[in-house]
Amino acid sequence: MGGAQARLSNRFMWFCMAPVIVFLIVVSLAPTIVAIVDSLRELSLTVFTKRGAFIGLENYRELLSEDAKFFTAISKTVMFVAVVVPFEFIFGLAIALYINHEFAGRRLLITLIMLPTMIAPVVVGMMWRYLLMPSFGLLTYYLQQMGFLAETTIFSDEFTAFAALMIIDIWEWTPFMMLIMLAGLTAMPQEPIEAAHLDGANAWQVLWHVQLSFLRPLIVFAVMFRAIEASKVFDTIYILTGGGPGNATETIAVFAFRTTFIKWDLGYGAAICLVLAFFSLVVAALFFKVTSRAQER
Amino acid sequence: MSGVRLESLCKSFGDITAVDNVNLTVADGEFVVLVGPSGCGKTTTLRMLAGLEDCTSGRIFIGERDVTDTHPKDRNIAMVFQSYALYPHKTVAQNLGFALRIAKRPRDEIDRRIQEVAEILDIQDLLDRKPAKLSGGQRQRVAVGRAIIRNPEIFLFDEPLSNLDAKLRTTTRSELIKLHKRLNATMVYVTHDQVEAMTMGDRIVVMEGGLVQQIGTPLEIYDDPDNRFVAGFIGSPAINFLDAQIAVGRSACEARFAGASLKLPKSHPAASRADVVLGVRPEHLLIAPGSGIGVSFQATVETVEHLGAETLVELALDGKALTVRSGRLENLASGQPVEIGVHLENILVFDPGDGQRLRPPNGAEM
Repeated sequence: MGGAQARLSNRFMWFCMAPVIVFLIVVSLAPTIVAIVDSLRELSLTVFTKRGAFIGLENYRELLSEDAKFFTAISKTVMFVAVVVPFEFIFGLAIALYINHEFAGRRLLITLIMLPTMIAPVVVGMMWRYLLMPSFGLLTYYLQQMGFLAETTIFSDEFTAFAALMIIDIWEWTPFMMLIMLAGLTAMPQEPIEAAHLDGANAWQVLWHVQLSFLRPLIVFAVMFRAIEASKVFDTIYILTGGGPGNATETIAVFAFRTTFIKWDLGYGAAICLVLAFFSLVVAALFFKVTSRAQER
Repeated sequence: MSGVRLESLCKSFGDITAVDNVNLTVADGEFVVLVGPSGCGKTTTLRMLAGLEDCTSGRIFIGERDVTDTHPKDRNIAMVFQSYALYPHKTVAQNLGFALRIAKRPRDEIDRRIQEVAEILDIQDLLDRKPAKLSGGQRQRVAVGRAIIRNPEIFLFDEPLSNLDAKLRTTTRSELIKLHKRLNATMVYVTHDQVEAMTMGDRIVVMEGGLVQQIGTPLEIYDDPDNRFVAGFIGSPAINFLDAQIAVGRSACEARFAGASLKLPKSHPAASRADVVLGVRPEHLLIAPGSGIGVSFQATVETVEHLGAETLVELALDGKALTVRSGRLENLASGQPVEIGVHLENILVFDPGDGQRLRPPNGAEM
């Protein structure tokens, strides 16, 4: 009786999980397997010989040993992540600390602050595109009035184009950091903070010695999440610069897109994506290892 | 060390008055306990003293210094929290030394003070551990250590024993009393446990509804409560209350209850009332008292609880329960009728309306 019931319960469990498992296989596992297979084949639509032929690790060899554009894209991505994530974290934490108390209109303010994160990235891109248009962009006009961008437009200069993309990403994702930090601050017990005040600590010392220690697991999560997300940034760059001028704003995701859907080299594009996924996994694993060790200490 | 003075201290949260016109002077080196049920305003008073809550009105003095608007860090106060409030990411030594580190004391002085405090509290072996690896009692010691390492002017305790088990609570209670004697420090201690209040305080402040109900030494509060609330809150088992009707004669008046009669002088404030409430401590109800007792009446034994050295007897009297605390009694049975007696001086009279104690004009009860 007991065994029959256990079997029934087991079957019911699989029945409940089946839709999710099928969904994951269709949208995640199957494409990954297809990508792995594709990355081992010659799948350039501009090549007429050997198309579809199995070429082993040739795509990977070429990517990792010969392709200077790949390493440029990697360095651009690293730079992008290294700049935007710390700023998003610092601004997000600062706003969270500032609004971490009850006041009239707090909920409305949080909702307004969250707007940039809630808007679809493509819409964000379009919005900034209009704001920064060379001829009639509102922001361009004001920047020119202030004496900036007199001789050039924002997206025609390598430095300003990349800086603008970073600022837009910071504008878009700081609210996300703010929300995570605010959740942490709200859930934090107040007594250790009060104890620190009584121990003579000022606001900075309380932040450094008490609040940041409590927030550490959340900071790890938020920074890691944002670092992985920022390394995949695509939509806004595609809308605003398309990776240009030249390849000045060509991050790894844009590079993969251009390779796959501009040059139509599907096998090489798959290899780029898989290398990117592998690096993301390694970084995430390292991050977890380091932080869990820090937690244990 | 310094004393503390609270003058007309009030705290409101919106429409709710949490602390209502509290006046209290704590002498230098005194151990004062604020006691009362949950929501009585004791913790809010303590937090205002610490600077963790703003006062709605009133002034707070530490020594002669008005600290009403002073930030907590500048009040030179140490506080032990109910949850201990240890810094979970720091070791015991770092927890202890935190305040000194913030004050930028020299490294060797910090180390020396940590060792001294660890010795006082017998936690030398725990210095490298994180709070998560400590038992409740050990955390409590670290929290106390974090307070005493600074030599503050005032120590505040917010129900520091409530998370400990009964046995550890008793031990820690006596350790805190010894610590107070050793440091001769001014301490303000908040608890809802009247046993803690009675055993620890030089003086007790009983609070209810944001108001101070009575201030006095433990025995003053126990023997001579100002109102029905204080009489009922202090004492375990709780005091017995009996409803009585007043009958006024030519030269005296009587409080009648359960067929018994208590004679009161005509000048007693009870004489101007139709009803009063009589209060008798369980140990003052005597079973089979013999002759010469002030008041006696019949009651029925409901339950008998043998505690070894003493016996608690619950009696039924006109549908109400009375508790008697007596020396060891072995021959009582449930349902047995017994004669109960009370000495007149052990009967407290209260107004049934506002609960205030009705004392005879000359100060003597009867």
